[in-house]
Amino acid sequence: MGIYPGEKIRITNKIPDGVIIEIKNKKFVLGKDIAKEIEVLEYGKI
Amino acid sequence: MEKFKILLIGQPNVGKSSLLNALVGPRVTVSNYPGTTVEVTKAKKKINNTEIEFVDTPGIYSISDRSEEEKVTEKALFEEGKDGVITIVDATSLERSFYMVLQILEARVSTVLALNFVEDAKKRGIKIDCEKLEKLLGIPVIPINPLTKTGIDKLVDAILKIRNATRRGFEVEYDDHIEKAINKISSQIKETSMPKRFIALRVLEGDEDFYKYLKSERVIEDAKEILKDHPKVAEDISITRYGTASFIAEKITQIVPIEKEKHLQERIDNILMHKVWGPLTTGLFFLAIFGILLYFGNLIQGVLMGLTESLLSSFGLAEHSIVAMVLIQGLTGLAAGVSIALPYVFLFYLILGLLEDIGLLSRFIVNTQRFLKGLGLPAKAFIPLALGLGCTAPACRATRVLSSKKEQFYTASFFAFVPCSSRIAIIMGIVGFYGGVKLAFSVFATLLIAGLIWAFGIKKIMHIKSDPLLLELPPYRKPLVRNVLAKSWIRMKDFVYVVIPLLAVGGIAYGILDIFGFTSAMVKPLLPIAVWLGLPAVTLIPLVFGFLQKDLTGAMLISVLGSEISLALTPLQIYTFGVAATIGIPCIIALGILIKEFEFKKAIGLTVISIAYGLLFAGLIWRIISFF
Repeated sequence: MGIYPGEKIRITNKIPDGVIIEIKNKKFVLGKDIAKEIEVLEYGKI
Repeated sequence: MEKFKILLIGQPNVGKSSLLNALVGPRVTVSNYPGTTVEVTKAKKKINNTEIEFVDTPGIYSISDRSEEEKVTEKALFEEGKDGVITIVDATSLERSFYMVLQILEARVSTVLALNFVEDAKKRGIKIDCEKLEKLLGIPVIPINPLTKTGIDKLVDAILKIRNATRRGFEVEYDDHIEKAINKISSQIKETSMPKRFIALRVLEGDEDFYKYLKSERVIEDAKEILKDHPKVAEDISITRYGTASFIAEKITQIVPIEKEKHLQERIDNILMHKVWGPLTTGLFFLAIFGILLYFGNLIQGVLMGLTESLLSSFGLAEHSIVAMVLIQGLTGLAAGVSIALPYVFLFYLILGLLEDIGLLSRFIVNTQRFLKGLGLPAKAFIPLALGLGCTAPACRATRVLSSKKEQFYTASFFAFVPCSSRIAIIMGIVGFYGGVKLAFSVFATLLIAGLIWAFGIKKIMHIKSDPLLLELPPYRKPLVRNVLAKSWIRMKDFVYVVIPLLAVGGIAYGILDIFGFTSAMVKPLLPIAVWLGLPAVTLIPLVFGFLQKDLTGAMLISVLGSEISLALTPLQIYTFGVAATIGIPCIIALGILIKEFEFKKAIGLTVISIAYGLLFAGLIWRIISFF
């Protein structure tokens, strides 16, 4: 799907129907529906 | 002669199609948004005494998810014969790329690792030790740049040695409970060319397609029991594999943080991805593109028309000879078609290529998401719809990226309102050139309104549930002129080799029909349509011929009315003609692909209904405006 379990995700922008995230130099647009499905294990600054 | 078959495999946007072009010469269009390759693309190259067939596969993130792209790639990887694989990885994001590399090594497929975007990685302060990586993974690692052809010769050398290469590379070690399960399942696998450990892993990751390799139903039940006892085994496998990929990436890279460029990229994204500025900027860009197409297209069209007219008159064919008259019609059709279509088609592809290579197109797509959602279109529908701006035929094939046939068909129905480059040429080259900017803009606006009404009606019938959106955004890059031109040429090739001869054939066919008086017989049964549209009956001939090939429409209109169209038609009639010619499934080629992708009845039904809807809409607007 493009995101692997255990990856660190950084939210860079919010868009009307989702968020833009950065994972290891790659940017992805995640729709609200899919973003809600992500289980966050740990929050913090990266 | 020795024959080799090599697969190109990698994540989306990793440069597979660029590499194929670097290996065999420009053959395929390279796009930097995922889903543009939904089928495999094959190309051959002779090197010394060896013929190598390269197979470009759809981009996938792993051999685990079950998307349409993944199924196509998995079939090419495991079910069809091959001598080896070039796995292309992104040097700026190694740990993410290594996940699939580890899976390929688990499958013990002979592979060469092509490291792309090495210069980008350097700019970001990432130094990669390729020798160390080679030793760790046990496979050849070649840094490449397909655009400058750096490393391509080395890669070809490595490919030629691939058949004799050892298939055993790095192996991931999983937790004890997983290793036990792997061993248990491995002992119950039928004899096959694939490694038993790999099949066992796929079974444990819940891939039912691999159950067929198990010896009996009882073994399948045992495997299901294991999955029941350890419901998170697939996740554990994934986490271990990703952890190993990260570990390898860390071992072979040195990172010196460089923030300057990244900040600039983020600043641009802060504007383009802003909830207010983003859609606004996108809208302004579209307006600018419209202006550029119209201004420069009209300029080139004027020059070309002048040139072709003087060229035609210099032939001095005696018009009273039947052969000469037919020839003149053929040449007129050809000249008009080239003058009308060529400038807009070429300029459009040039702009499209530029937007893609800079990385802007993906951002525009994101900004149009809300609009698409409003139309009831699934999130991924932007891929076929964006492709539809070029040509409807490949766009129909690209609907395969959507998860269900229902979604695919619903999205395909919108091709009736997404103008392909040929329809853009009609709007710009006929409506804009003879009727002015406002009229051309009105036709685009009418397409939009007609599409909105269509969506409002059809989404109530079909009840589409949207797929969630997940799209990779490429980084902003300076476009390479050579690359953009090559890409435009690949997209234009069909126009030059297929459409231009067809324009001449269309003109000759019209000449024959006209000379022997068949045109009036052909138009007669269609007279009510002409009356409904408020157009002269002869204008139906270009509409009919246009269905064979859309670029014929403009050329045939000049054949039937002469080059001074604005004297033969009123501005309102030019507008009505533009609307009638552009709404609907555009041509027989698109219909053919629709039949292939969907059922015959559905494809025919959609084509007939969309064309009828277009004619109805055009006539209705003509009547409303005429009333005032």
